[in-house]
Amino acid sequence: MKDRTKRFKKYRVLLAMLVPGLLYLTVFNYIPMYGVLLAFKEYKITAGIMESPWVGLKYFRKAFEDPHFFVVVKNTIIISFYKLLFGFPVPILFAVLLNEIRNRTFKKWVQTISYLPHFMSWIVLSGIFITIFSMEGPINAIVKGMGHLPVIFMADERYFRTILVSTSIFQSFGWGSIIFLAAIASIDPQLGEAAIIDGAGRFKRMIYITLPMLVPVMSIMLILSMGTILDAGFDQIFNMYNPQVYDVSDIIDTYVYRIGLIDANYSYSTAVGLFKSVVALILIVGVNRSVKAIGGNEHTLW
Amino acid sequence: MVKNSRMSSRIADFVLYTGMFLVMVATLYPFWSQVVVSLQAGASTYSTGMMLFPKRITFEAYGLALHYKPLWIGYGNTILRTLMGVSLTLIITSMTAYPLSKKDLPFNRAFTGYMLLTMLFTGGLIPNYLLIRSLGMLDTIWSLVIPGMLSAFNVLIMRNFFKSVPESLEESATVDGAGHIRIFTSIILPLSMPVLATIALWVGVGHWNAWFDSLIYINDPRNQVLQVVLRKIIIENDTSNMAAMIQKMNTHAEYTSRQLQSTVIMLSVIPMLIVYPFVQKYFVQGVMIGAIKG
Amino acid sequence: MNKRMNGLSLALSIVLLGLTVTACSNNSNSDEGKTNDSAASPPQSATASGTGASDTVDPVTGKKMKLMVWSFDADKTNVDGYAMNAIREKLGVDIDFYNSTNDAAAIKEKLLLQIASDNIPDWWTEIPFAEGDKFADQNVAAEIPLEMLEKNAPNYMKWMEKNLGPDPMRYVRRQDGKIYSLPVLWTLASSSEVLGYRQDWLTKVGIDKTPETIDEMAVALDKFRNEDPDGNGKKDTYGMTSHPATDATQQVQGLFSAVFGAYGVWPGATVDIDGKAVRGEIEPGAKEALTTLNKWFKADLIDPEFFINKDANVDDKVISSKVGVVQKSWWEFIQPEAFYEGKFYAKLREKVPNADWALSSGPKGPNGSFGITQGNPMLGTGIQFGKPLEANPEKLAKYLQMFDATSFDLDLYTKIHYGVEGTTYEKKSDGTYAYLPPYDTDESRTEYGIGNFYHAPGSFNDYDFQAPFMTRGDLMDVKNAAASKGIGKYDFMLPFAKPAFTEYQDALTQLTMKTYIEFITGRRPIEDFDKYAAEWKSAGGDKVLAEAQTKLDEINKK
Repeated sequence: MKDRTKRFKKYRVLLAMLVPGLLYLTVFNYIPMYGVLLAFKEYKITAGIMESPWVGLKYFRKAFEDPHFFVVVKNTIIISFYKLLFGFPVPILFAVLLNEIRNRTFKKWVQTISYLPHFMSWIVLSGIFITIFSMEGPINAIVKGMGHLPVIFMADERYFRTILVSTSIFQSFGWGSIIFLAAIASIDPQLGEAAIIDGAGRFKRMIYITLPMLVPVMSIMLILSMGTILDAGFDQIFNMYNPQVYDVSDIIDTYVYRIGLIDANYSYSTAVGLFKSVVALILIVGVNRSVKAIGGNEHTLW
Repeated sequence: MVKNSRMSSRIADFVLYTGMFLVMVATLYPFWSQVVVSLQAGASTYSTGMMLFPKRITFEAYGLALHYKPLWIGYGNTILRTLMGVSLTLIITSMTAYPLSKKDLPFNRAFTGYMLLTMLFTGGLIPNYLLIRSLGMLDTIWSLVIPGMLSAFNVLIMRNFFKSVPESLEESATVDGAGHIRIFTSIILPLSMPVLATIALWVGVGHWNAWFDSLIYINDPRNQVLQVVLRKIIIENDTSNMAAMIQKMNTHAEYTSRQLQSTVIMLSVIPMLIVYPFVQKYFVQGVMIGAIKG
Repeated sequence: MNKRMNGLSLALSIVLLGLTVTACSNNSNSDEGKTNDSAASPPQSATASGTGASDTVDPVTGKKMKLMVWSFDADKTNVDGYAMNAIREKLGVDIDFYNSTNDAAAIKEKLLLQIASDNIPDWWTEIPFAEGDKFADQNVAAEIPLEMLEKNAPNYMKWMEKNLGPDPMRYVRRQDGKIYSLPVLWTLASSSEVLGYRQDWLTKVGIDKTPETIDEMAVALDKFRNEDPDGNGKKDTYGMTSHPATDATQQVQGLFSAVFGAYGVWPGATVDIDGKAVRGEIEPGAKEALTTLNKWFKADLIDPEFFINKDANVDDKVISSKVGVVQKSWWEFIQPEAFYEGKFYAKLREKVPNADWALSSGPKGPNGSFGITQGNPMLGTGIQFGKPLEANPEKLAKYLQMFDATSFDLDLYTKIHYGVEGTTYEKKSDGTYAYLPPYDTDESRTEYGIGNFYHAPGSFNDYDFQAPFMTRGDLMDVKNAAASKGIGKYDFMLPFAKPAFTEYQDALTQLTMKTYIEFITGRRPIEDFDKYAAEWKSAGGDKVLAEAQTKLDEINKK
């Protein structure tokens, strides 16, 4: 008790500094949060959210009694998981390797250009990828060159998720590496110098200095990425999929979009959104706990 | 031994540089193909193959876009919102993140939890619109800058970087009689330039590319942002868009919609590429801790 | 160190600067907003000042009545320009703009938000049917009495009757017998889709008449694939590809509709066949069509990527001469000056100067059936009025008069779109209209205040009435010939509330798309068709059909 008063005193300036942020969150995030009530109500436009009649779990039941909903949840989780599994390490690797390049100009060029796909919309990118993976495209040219028959990759359930994951990595690894480059830039250069004196080679310095220094960022990025785990990439999938691969690529967002085409239903989409948030919350807490359990106490969210 | 390691370092360099060069070529391609299409004349924008070089160069689409007055209004508003948005975000985010980087701050976990929930649960469009409206921010730049100014994600990232500043630095400053504010502004912030630059880049690009908020909150064309203007150009020339087509059926579209579309991408990406090197130096160079210490 | 702090203070001062700048601009905005409202003395008055139709007084406010006009393209409209003044003069009212955007999805979103914040506009247009129904149910939309409509919008009613037969309002009349919306017809929709054959290719492979039957079509496709019709020495051309639907709910209709038409079925649309509501996808005719398509696919005549293509890919393939047969709106295949855009004509000709298209309404099948699934001309709810107008019938009537006049009064229509003869436009000897310089650019037209962007309402397009504005005189025959080819049935259920359809449409569409593609590509034997039909029915299809039958009986009874 006494300790807390002491801490209050010690940190009174910092506590005051926190006030604007907390106030902001209250006004701009917490006040509008009554909108989630829509998930349990039948929205009447003139009545407003508060006055609309309650319908309880109607829209959750609608979602969970729909057999296709489980298919799309499954696809969402699988695609998201693959994107995380393969997509998470790539920007780190890229940042670390980029750091090894000593020619400044070349380094800057590579870095700048690696971001470019991030600025292209999926409408444009999907057109390009459809061309690249088409019967006449370069990939099939290689396939034919090796004496095989060309494959319609975009229509093949065996390849489609791989295409989704790899093109999504292609689009985002450069942009995703920024935060890791920032972390590398924050490393005290004296550490590296000391290691050189100790006779550590480049590879050793990479493994024993750069990577460990990135662990805090990696861990927080990993935990935070759980927050969007059920967003498997609407824009990408919507622009790339076709009926032959729906079974492996239809995700929650594309499904909710399609069934809302004729009759957009705020209550239903709010219910689905709420479901996604709850799953994300559980995952964040879970991963945070696991990080703590494996001894990364310093790197958790709380 | 020494020779050997130099040799292997050379090989490593060769592999590294070649690999990076290939990465560069691959990531450049989508952008390059848009450059080509935006410069391509007439029917040559239609092709079933890869586009490597423009066949007949024309700047017509750029001319059309650049003569379009709302485009410049859009640039003005977007630059303003980006500058304001980035500055406000950096200020409030760092102010929030710094106290939370102190492990023994009272109620630290409660505050963190309070923030985290905002990352996951949102009220949706309707309550936000009503809030913006009741605050009188409709049709003003505040409706674009204030909502989303503080995000839990950025605070948590920044807090993590603040944590990694060696405590010894702060302690020695405290001994010298510096208060929390002094330490924050003269030690923590300068040492955290890389993360500040990162967040500035994230937020800045976010503002630069944002359109939905402006579409919903802004009615007055004089307050409209660049991306909305660019979308408008595309929709106007998009003949697969039924609604747009019916409205303007008796005005003949002069440009292929894809040429305009790629031109529009260029108009929005190129300014970012010009500004980027100025931000880039903060994470390519690194921080001189020695400089602070001294 | 010092330098960095400078950066921070620079950022701060930018913020402050930003604050002052916006504060200023806010002030000026609201000021101008006010002047806008009271704009009584427009610069280029269409009338000699003061004369004109006697001013109408709003019985509710007691002031001169003010009507609102939508401006979806703020940069292309001028609230005090010639067109708006012409309307002011014609109706003796004041007019101001509702500013919005040209993005259809955003228009709807903004309207919903406006209504949710208790800010109901006087009127709105082209909202999807489901939304329109909700507006009527939830007391957002005003009732439109039929007598008022007949009295104040007689030309509109005539136009509706011309296209829909007597009692055109039966499509929007609700259970309680009341009307809450003015349907907007896009009359082109029901006759727009045609099948185009590359005429130059037909000539090259020695076919001297446009294929009429499904067998003749098969021959043409075969030659297009195998006889190098583009003469580049490579076997890189396909017979045909399918036409992807931009709207996911219409995917099935986009899949080789002409071939299904040959067997008398219309998959993807609920059609009225002798008083029976029918979905073509489960009819026996569909099985025959799929058998034919499968045969063609096996013979390598169809673009193997037909189901992956997005719109852009199809454009690429057509314009770079990779396919010889494609379905599209008729105006894409003819000169842009003949009607509109002419993408497959103009762009293709830049690459292949002698390229030309032969248009067809689709091949005739064994029973002589033919056609391509068309669109329902009723695209959306049309125009609705805000509930508050119910209490102000004079204003409602005035709106109806305005809509009628701007759409069907030739003089006013010309004034709005073309301005003043001899000044802004001239009438050519062939009867068409052309802007005079400097009014041949969007910018100067905007400044003068004329053009196509004044939505007052701009939704009732009688294309017969507008023909001289759209088609060059010497191309009138080309246009008429092309337009006559669009034949086929369309989904009659589009305008109606259809809960069963809404619930099952996605599952049914996915099932059909997947299975059809498997049938065509041969991944699944066509013998499974009956299994598919049964699955379709049990997945909600029978409920969809029952719902449609009930509605159809209701319409036909009247």
